[in-house]
Amino acid sequence: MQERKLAVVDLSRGKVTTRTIPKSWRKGFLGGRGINSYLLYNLIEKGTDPFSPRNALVLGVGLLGGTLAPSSCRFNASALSPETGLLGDSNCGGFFGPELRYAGFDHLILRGRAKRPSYVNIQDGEIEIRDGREYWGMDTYDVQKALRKDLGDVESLVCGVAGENKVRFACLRNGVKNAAGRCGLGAVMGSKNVKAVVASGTDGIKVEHPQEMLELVQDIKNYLMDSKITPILGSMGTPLLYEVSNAIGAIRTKNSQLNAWSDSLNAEELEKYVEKMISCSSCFMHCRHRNTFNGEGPEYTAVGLLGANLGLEDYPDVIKLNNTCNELGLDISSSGSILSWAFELYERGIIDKKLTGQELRFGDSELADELLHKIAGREGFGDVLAESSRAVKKFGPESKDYLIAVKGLPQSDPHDVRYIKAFALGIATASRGADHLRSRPTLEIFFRLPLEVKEKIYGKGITADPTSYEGKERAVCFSDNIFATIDSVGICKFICHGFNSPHFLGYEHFSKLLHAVTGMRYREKELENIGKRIIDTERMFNFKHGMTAKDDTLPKRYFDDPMTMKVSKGHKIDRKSFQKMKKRYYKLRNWDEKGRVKKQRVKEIESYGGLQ
Amino acid sequence: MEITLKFLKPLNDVVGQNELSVEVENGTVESLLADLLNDHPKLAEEILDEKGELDYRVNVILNDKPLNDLDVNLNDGDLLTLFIPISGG
Amino acid sequence: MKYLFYYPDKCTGCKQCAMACSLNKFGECNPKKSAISIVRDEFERYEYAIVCMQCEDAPCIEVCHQGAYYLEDNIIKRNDDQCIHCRLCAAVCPHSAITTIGKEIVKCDLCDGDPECVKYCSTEALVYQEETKEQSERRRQLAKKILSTS
Repeated sequence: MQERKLAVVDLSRGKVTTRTIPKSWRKGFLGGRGINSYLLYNLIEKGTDPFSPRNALVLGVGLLGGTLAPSSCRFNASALSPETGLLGDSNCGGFFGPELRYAGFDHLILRGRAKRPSYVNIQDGEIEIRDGREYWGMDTYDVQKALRKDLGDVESLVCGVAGENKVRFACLRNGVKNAAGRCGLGAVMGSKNVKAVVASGTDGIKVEHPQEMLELVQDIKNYLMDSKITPILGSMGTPLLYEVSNAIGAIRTKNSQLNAWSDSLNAEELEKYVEKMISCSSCFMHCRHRNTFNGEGPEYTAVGLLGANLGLEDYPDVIKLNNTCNELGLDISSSGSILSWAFELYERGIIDKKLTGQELRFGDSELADELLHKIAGREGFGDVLAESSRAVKKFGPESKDYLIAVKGLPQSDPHDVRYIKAFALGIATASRGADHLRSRPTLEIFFRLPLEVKEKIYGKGITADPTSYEGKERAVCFSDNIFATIDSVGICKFICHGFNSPHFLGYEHFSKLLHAVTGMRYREKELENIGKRIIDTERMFNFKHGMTAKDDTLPKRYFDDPMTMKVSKGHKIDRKSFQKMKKRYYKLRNWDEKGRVKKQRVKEIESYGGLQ
Repeated sequence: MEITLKFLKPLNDVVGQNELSVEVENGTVESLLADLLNDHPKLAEEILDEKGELDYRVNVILNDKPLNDLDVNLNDGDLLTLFIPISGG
Repeated sequence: MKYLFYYPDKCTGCKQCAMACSLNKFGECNPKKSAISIVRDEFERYEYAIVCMQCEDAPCIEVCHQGAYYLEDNIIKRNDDQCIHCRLCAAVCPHSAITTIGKEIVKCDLCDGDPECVKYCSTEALVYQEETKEQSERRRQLAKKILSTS
C-alpha cells in the first residue's frame, strides 16, 4: 500500500511535523473516524477544557477517500466536544476530504492556539500557518469565496461567525452546505484562532489494482442504479424521510409536544424550490438540492427540526432558516432543537422576558431567523442559547425535563424514537450523544421485514415487532459496528447497508474495494471487528472524560409522555424495559455491568501505540 | 363501502394521484390490493417482489395500525396508506 | 462516427468521469490528472465538463512542430515519444481540453473507441454515441417539449 501521511500542526509554536501512518493502525482502525478516535483517546488528557489549547482538532479522511469508490468523499472531524464535554466527532461529505488527500495528508491534528487569527494552508505536501486576520469575521460563504479568489482552486474547511464566537454548536463547513455539523467542532476551530484549513493538491491516490477497481466500481454502479430506491434518493434526497416519519406519527413537532405535522413539508412540495440535484465527490446518487434561495438543502434534519419542530409549515421559511444556519456556521440539528426547547419553556412560563428580552413563540420564522443571528453573534439572549444544553444553568433545573438531548447533545434525528424501540436504544448509547448517524438501525422501520431476514442480519434473538424491546440490542450493536466501519473507509452511509437498504453496500463490498485500492486483504469479519474496536475506543474516550452508564439514557419526555397521534399513539419508553435492554446491550458489546470496556480490551487497544 | 387509499412518494407518482377512493362490496386488504394492482400494472412492478408477493419494503398502514398480515377485513371509511420507508439523515 | 456528448444540465459535478480517466491512464485516482476535467463552483452554482471535442481542423495537430499529434480513425492521438513537452498544444487548444500536470500531458483519445469516463456517469450527462442517433433523440425531446407546452 502507498504510504500516506499524518501531520501535527502546533499552532502555539508555529511548528509542523509529519509522519507516515503506521500499517498497524490501518489494520486496527482503517482511517477516517477510526484513526481519529484512536488519536483523540491518546491525545486529550483528562480534565481538558474543550476550548483550551490542550484540546486537539483532528481531521481524518477515510481509507478509500478521494477514489473511484462510490461516494468516497467522507472525512471526520473530531475533538473533545464543547457541547457535551465528551467525544466530539462529525462525518462530512463534499470535496474537502478528497482534496486534503490530494494535498498529501490523510490525517491532520491541530493543537495549541494561534496567537492571532490564522488559517492553515496545505498545498502539495507543504503546510503553512498563515495570517488570517483579513478573513476573520466573514460568514462561511464569504470566507470560502475570498480564499478561492486569493488562492485559486482550493477546498476549504471553515468555521463561521458562530465558530469564532465559540457557539457550542457551531459547525465546520465546506462548500455551501457540507458540514461536520455535530458536537460544536466549529467552536473548537474558532477557539484555536483558526478560520480555515485550506487544501489543494495535484497528487492522486495510487491504486494497487487499477483494472480490478474499474471493473468493481462499474459493477457496483450498475448494482446501485438497478435498485428501486436509487432514483428516489437521487430525485428527492433525504427530505423524503419527513413524510415517512410523519406517516407513522414520529416527526418531532414543537419540541416533541406533538408527534405529527403538516403534509405541506412533504418532499414533493420542496421540488418547486429545487434548481438542480448535485453530488459530492465520487457520488452516483446526487441527493443534494441546489435551492432557489441561493443555497443548498434542506436535508431531512432541517425539514424536521427547522420546520415541524419550530411549528413552521412552509418550505420557503424552512429553506431560508436552513440557509441562515449554513451561512452562519451553525449545526442545524442543535439549532432547531435548542430553539424549540426555549419556545416551549417560554410558553410554559419556565423562562420569561426578563431572560429572553422578547416574546418567544412557535410558528414565527422571522423570530427564529433573528435568534439564529443572535446565537451566532452571542448577542443578548443568543448568548444563553449559544450554550446549547448547558443553558439549563440559566433556565433552571425544571427546564431539563423538556430538553430533547442525550449526553448534552440535542437529538439530530427528527424522528421521535418513542415508537421504534431500537431507535431509542441507538440514540441513548451512541458515542457522541443523541444522534442517528452512529447506530440507527433503520431497517426497523420496514414494518413487514420478515423475521428470517432480520435474523440473518442481526442474529437470532431479534424480534420482528418494531415496538418490542426484545433483542433490539442486536440491531443497535450491528449498526454501531458497520457505521463505524463505513465512517472509516470514508463512504457515505446513504449507499450502505444498515443505514439504508439491506441490498446496498456492506462489508463484502468494502473488502473488495479496499483490496483494489490498498492491496491489503481485509476479511469481512475483520472489518466488523474494526467497527467494534472503534466503538470500544470511543467508549474508552468517553469514560476517560467522565461519562458513566447513567448517561446512556433518554430525554425525560420519552419515558413519561405517551405520544398522542397516529400510529405511534400511546407509545412511550418503559423505564424498566429500557434498562433491561441496555443491560443486554452492554453484555452483547462485552462491556461490564457499568458499561465499561473491560481491562484486557483496553490493554489490547492501547497496544497500537501513540503518536511518539 | 368506501375505502381511501393513500400513496406516499414515489408510489403516488406511479398511481398518478396521492389518494384514491374505491368502492368495494366487502373484502380484505389483500383482495383490495389485488384489485388495485390489476388496475395499475405499473404499481405492481413497483411494489411486488420477484415472487409476485408484496415486497417487504412496502409498509401498509390500515388507519393507524401497521399491518404484517394482509388478510384483514375492511370496514367502511377505512384509510389504507402505502409507502416505502427510505432512510437518510 | 461516435462522439462524446456532454449535457451540463444533467451533470451533478461528482467527478467520477475524471476519476475513472486518471485511474485508467495512470493507475491513480486524481481528477486533476485526467483528460476530462470537471470545473465546478458551488458558490457560483455551476458544474461543467471540459474534454477534447476531436476538432476536424485541430489546432493541436497544426501547432505541434514535432508531429506528436496525428489522426487515426477520426480520433486525434498523441505520441508521447515524439513530444518534447513544450505544452504549446495546451496553450492553443480552443477548448482548454489538453491537461498538463507535472510531467504529463493528457489528451483524450476516447480510449480507442471505448471511453472509460462515460461508464461511471450516473445521469447520462456524458454519453458516447453516434451523432445521428444523438441528434434524433435530441430533436425528439425538443418536439415533445414544444408540443406539450404549446
